[in-house]
Amino acid sequence: MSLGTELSDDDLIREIRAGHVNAYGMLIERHCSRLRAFIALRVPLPGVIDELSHETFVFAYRNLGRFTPGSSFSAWICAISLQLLRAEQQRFRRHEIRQARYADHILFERGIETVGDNDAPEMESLERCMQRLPARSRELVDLRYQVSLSAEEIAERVRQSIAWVRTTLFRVRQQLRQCVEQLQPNR
Amino acid sequence: MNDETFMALVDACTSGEATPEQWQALEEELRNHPARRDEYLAQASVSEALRALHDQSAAERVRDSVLAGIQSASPSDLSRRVMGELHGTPVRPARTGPISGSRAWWRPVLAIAALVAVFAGIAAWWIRLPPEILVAEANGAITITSDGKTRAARSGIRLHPGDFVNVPTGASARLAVPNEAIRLDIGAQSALAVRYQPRALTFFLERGALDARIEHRERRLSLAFATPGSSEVILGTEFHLASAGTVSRLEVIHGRVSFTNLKSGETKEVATEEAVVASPEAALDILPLGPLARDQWTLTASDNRDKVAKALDTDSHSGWQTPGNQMPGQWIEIDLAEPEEISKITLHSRYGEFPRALRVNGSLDGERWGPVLAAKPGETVTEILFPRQRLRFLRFELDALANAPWSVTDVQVFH
Repeated sequence: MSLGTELSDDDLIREIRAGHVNAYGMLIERHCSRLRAFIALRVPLPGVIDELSHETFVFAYRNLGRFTPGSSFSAWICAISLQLLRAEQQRFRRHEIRQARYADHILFERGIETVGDNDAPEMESLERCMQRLPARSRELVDLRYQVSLSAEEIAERVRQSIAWVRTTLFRVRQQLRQCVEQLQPNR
Repeated sequence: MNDETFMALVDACTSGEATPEQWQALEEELRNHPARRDEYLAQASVSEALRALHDQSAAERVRDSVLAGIQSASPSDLSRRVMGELHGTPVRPARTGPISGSRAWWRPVLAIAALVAVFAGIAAWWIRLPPEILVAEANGAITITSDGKTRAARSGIRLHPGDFVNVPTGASARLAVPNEAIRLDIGAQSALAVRYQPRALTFFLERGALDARIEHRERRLSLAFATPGSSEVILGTEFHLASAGTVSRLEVIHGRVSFTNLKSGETKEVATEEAVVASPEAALDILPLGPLARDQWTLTASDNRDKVAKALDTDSHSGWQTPGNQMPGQWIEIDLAEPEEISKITLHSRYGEFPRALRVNGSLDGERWGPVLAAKPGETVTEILFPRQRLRFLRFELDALANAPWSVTDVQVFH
């Protein structure tokens, strides 16, 4: 399986076209986190993220013949997920949001509104913004999102109050959002 | 509400740690202060994006479900429409066939349909049709395969005899048979087939584990569960069934179950608070259901040794944890103080901190070690099932890198 890390996207796509479906598994593993993050930045509802990322990859597979070798696969699937999101708006409205909380309703409706004309903003900007964070903020982000600790456990580790952890994480996310928007002026 | 309170509230809600009262407070605030809605959206979106970037198990889930899904049906209308928009080529809607033929074309069709309906009605009355089986909950990328085609399972869809339900790593599903008041909770990494013959419903657990609860049943329908090595006819109400390789284990929480080892043909009745293990070589022994007492146990570990005792305390939140992300070779070891006949171990972890690949070895003297069979990792509980054997020392060792630490908040060993 380590072979996959050495193959480029184009190599993998050639393998898939030659009938090796497992190569598509590698391609999914390589791009899934970024695609999910891309969808999450627009509609931050876990159910929608799960469903759309699944449908995007199924869709991309079926239309792989139309992908232009040499161009960015990541940008291509992001564009597909946006199109699917627009096309599926009505269905999501009906099924996913019907019994949801008002807060979820806001995420969905306003998230959809922010879906603009930009076709392929790169998730790399979020990663770049994370690298710009001061070490202390970065540590908090890692403890919350990588190690998955609760606010209480983080507070214990960094010897601060829970309220401090919560408000600081809020500010860090605020910085990240601003940074992402600056890197993508058309958003 | 001041800024600090709002910030803390949003953080609690986006981290999934909020109480229902906190959610209510947030909703109240968002309804009354439109300006704060954008702020909430920005927070939730960055939060979910960061979670997505770090969630490797989600990528595996999507991979499994997509690979299962792409072998199924042809592109949908939606796919064609979207592709048209993406590449600027208009897509014509699918043509529907013209209605033509003689004026009375519908008469024989109607007559045949009426006849079919009458016969179907009689047949349904005569041979009871399969009961309605529903996917009540689908958490994660559950897929259903029937006749070589695979589709994604969503809650509310109906299962049919011959369907094969696949629950990948990190996912779980609940099936319900409403008319029979049957509820099945299927764990991660499980595969279950639905089989039906007139008046006999069978759930075949190819691998994995399920918990069943049967509140009351119509006497006319016989209900059975089967694994590759055993079959159980259900007389009672609540049980846990697990299957790994050729080993099956049944734990009856309430009621009575008749259990057959398919290899030997031996049958035993298992009652409330009893368990039974079937493996090809061994005779069926009725075992007590509860875990072994652990006050004499000692634990050691490769790292964080001072925390290792926390895996045995009664607090299910506190536990032992690797200092960083999972690395091959990190281990934890248990000395049961004296040899015990055992067949199951459960390791509990904090959510997502389960061992991605685990080697389990057992020993009687602490010197000569042998591998123990199949570990089935789940989001929080890893269940290790093996043919019954006499062991004193148990060693759990990581076998792969992972993008999360490994925590052990509780260990239980069963006869």
